[in-house]
Amino acid sequence: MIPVIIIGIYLLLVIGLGLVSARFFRGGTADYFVASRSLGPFVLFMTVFGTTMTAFAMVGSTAETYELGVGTFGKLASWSALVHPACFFLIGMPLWSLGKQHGYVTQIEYFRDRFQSSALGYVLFPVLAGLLIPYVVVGLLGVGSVVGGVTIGAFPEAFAATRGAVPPALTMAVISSVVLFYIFIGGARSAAWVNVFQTVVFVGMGLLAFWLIADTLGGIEAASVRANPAKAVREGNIGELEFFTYWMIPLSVGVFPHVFQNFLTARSAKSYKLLLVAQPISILLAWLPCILIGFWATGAVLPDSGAPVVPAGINANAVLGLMVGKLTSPVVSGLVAAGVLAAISLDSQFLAIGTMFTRDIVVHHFGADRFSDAATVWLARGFIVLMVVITYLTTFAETRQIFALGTWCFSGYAGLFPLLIAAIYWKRVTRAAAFVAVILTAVVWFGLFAASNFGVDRKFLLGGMLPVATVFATCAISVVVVSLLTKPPSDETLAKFFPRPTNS
Amino acid sequence: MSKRTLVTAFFVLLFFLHQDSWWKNDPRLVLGVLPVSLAYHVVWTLLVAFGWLLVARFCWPDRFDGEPPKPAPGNDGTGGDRPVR
Repeated sequence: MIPVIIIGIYLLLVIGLGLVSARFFRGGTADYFVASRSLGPFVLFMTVFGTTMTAFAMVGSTAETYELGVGTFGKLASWSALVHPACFFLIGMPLWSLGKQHGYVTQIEYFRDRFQSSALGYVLFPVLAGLLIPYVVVGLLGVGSVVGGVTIGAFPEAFAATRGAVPPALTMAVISSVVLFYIFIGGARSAAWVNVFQTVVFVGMGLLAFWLIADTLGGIEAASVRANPAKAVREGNIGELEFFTYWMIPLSVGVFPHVFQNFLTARSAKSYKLLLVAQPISILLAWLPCILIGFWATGAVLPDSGAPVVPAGINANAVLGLMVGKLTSPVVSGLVAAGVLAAISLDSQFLAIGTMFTRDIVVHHFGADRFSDAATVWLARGFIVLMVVITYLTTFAETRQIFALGTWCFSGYAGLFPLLIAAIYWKRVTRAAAFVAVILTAVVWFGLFAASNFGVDRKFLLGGMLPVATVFATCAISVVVVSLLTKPPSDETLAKFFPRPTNS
Repeated sequence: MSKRTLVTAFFVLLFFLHQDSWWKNDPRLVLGVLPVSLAYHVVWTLLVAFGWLLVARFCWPDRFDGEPPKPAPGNDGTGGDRPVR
């Protein structure tokens, strides 16, 4: 019961923070969508970091390490430490500058303007928005599994079917409602405030769980010595080409619509300096404890009975919840569950979906003068509610491993990276190339996803490489080949996006 | 050699050093706690942070520091063709 009370207190704090931040809401679309482009370095960093770390980082990393060893850190965390700041530097800053100059709020607005094509937006929207849904599903599944793990036995009569644990469906409904509440009232500004709080909570609670679990297992050395040595190495767990091609997965951060929106909230380019340096260190702080907990789980036994903490054959998503639930106190279980909830920041994703639908589809189609500023905000809110409901219902059909599902989702976004980088840096890229690249990339991604039995085949590789390599190559080749075969962009477009440097 | 070239070379080197195949089958624990490959990647990550510190300190692109130029009149950021009325 104690974990449930602590989780309840955490949720009340989030709601309270949402209410307070909403008092600073200035009204209008600029504040609702991009917080009036006013965030300083600290809030920008906490928001972006909180947004890029999800259930993937806490629940997924622990589960993946339990199954496939400590190579999990190298294949995703350390690559992210290099690639995320590179995306912020090479993509985020130029787009922030262009966004401020031309008033963009969504990626699609940028792409439409860059390629002088309204139709391109209608092709991009289903791809970008469609890939966000599995991303959010990943987050909700993480919430459900961890809260279920730490509340086993709390409600033996009410929830007998789940051994007294709060059922995942109920947990996911409550979390969706809370996120919906503060996004509804404060938009990007509320999301930023809540993300600052959540980032502190989830990094802090991860470290707390790490420390207390180690203590119960007899110290960090004893815990590591008892772990399965087969999980201390990569061989037998992950192929070398597969390990290498993981560098492409974090490229997705440069293409995520919600991170794009985060990019635009910066007050100035200098706000990015802290982001570049703090992101790798924070990834280390957030991932390493969870990786070690997953490693220790391969050999951990209960101090009193000697029984394995993680029973054989259990769903790996439950490993973190079991380790915390069985090896720490109910108070810590509740705090860690709150940390996982904090890690799963679905707010930016929901806000991005609502923003894209409102601006890129409705307002673009019917004309900006058709809606007042307030009506536009209400449109976004309505679509966000609809998407929350659809996402929630999707979780009932979803039982795959969080890490595998997340990887597929990230692969889709990472596949579009060549088009985005070409749009920013290559004058010769053409409208036709953009169309062909988006359509081919989406088709190839979906074909591979289907061939993997929609993520069920977790060992699905092509030539030993992750599918993202094929998706990425498809996009890159189509961008280059089609651009060289078609008419270059107009001088007017080039002058707008590649202005000559002035001497002043 | 410019600072920018040196920092770029540092990142290229780190990119290739990520593939620590020499430890892929070594289960030893560093300090009795971290599997050696994991310890290597922890240090690698700290070096990456150092690299980005060098970028922020020595290779910062000044062109982003001022206010971006004002948009052309009539550019509302909706992009491309005018919306269908």
